[in-house]
Amino acid sequence: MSTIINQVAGRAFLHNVPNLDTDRIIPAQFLKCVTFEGLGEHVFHDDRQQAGGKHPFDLKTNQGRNILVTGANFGSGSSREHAVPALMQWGIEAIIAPSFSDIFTGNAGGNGLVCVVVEPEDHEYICTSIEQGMSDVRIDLLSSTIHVGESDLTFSFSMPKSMQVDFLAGTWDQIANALDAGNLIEQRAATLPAFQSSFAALTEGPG
Amino acid sequence: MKTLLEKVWAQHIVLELGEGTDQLLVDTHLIHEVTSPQAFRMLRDRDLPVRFPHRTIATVDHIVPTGDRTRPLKDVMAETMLQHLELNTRDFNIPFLSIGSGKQGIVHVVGPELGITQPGTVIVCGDSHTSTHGAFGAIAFGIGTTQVACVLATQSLLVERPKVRRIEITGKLSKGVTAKDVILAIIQRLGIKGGIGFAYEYAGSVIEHMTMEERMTLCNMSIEGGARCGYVNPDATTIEYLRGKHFSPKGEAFEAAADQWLSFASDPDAEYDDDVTIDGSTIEPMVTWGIDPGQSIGITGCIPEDAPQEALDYMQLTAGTQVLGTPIHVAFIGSCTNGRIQDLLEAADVIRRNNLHVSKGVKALVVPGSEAVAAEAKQYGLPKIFTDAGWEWRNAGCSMCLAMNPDKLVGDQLCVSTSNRNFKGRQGSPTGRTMLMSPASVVASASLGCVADNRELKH
Repeated sequence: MSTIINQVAGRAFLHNVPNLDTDRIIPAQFLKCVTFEGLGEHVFHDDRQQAGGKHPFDLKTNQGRNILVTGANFGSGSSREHAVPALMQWGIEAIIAPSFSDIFTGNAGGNGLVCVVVEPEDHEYICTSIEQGMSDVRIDLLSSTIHVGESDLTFSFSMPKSMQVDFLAGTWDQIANALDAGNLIEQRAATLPAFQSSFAALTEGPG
Repeated sequence: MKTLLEKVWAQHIVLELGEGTDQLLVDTHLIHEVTSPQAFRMLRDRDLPVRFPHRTIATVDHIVPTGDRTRPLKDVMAETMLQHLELNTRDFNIPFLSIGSGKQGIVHVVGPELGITQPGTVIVCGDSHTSTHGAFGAIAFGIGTTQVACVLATQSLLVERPKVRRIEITGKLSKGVTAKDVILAIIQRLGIKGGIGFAYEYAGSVIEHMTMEERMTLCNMSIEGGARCGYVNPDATTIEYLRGKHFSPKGEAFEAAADQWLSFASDPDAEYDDDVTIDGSTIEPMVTWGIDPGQSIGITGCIPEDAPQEALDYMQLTAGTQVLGTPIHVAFIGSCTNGRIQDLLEAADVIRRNNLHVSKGVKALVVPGSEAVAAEAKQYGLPKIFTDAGWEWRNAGCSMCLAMNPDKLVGDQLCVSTSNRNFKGRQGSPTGRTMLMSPASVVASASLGCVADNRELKH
């Protein structure tokens, strides 16, 4: 069901702030929903409102750009997956940062959002290049490299190995992958004491 | 030779997928109204059943009003989310702890109090504070919604095994210093991204002497240090807490289970990927001054001179100054971090011993973590102690920890809070300010109307 992702090419922009937590990416008021539709317009809602049009996601020059370069520990805090579709619906296809929170990384992988980790000094170099107008960026998953501008500027990146393999093979549908284990799941469950008990009796009444 | 994480992990591998990733079986899946509706949609779209409905349990916590809970809920979207959970749990045959059942509450409070949380199990939930359950020696971590769907459909997850960092807290805590202060001190030292890729194992004399409630407070905030999972090795304290709980085995079966649970503890000669030691006697009551949980100081300390300007501007504070004495507007006791019976008992005790009353102009809220906590608090006469002292006594839920219900800050109000996140806008106002601290410190501050040192009170 998933597509092959072997590269993301396009134009990058900076929102170079560390520790952008998922409460900031999509504030809790927008979690009052039962689908992931319509989240894109609310990405960074509160921050954008405070910034009065000067937030990177509101700047005219950044509209239509698809690669976000941001600070360390991106997506920290709440596990809300809503943050990923919010970014993707705005137009983000890949994110470059010195680090990501573990839960955000997993959520991104399940949605085909490419998150790549670069060394702090390379991050600084990439930021400077983009500031100087070299915003054409290509992330190549096969060679684990990022190409910046028309020059030969190349940086290596890392991402969870299995996620990279799944992106390249177009097999990043976690549910389909997990279903492939078939009855090995039941076999493992049969060895664990927890599976001998059921929560079903609980809701029959207080006590 | 093995850590608890290695032992539990090995028992739960369905398939080794290579590249450090395993398909891991989940013993217990906790679900709630915010991160599950889209997951059930994914199941319906693929025409998949829930693989083990009897190992899945649901409650409603984030959107629940803590005042009037009559149906339909006044907030139309909150009511819609609750209806979706009711429909999904009914259609897929999943037990649901509903409002008024006596068992509803914050998912990380109800799991332990019902004995659902057991040592040596793998527990997941679409909520980052699932790390709480690690207090029992479970491997417990937060997941996203696609992963919730994956666990519903396969009772398993594709995950990388984390490294393990042992954090030893030696010595003894001083008077007025709590588990909340210990975890804030750990995060301050190791940083909010220090735990990325790690599980935290908490050990040492301070941890060994902690109650289960205190261990839950500690493990709860592992994620604020970047560690998706944190745990304490099971010991006699763990066993005694679980004795007699609804889902604990009974009679001889309990003793057999207890032996098994204790065997999950990390071996004395286990090898760790990293070790950290902190002298517990040096930890002060902590308070956050910034916009992430790592930006904290001892209550009498000064904000660092190199504090980021963004945080100072947002909090309206100045580098190099004390936060002690900063006027406050709201006080909040509750959340999956500090909404358990011991937290409420300790807060009420400080109020009673010192004959405290909420300062004029301060709005003070106590929100029990669950209906069961509320019922137990009533037996101890806590609602009257709090309300006589000027606090509002509310119904169970997540409330002002993340303000998805009507409990929100207004404008740039400053709230002293027992919750877990001081992120920008976290408590429902885009300019609202949060200072994280322990229940005792929140009570002291609410009474003085400003950030206060609880050590000056009788304990």
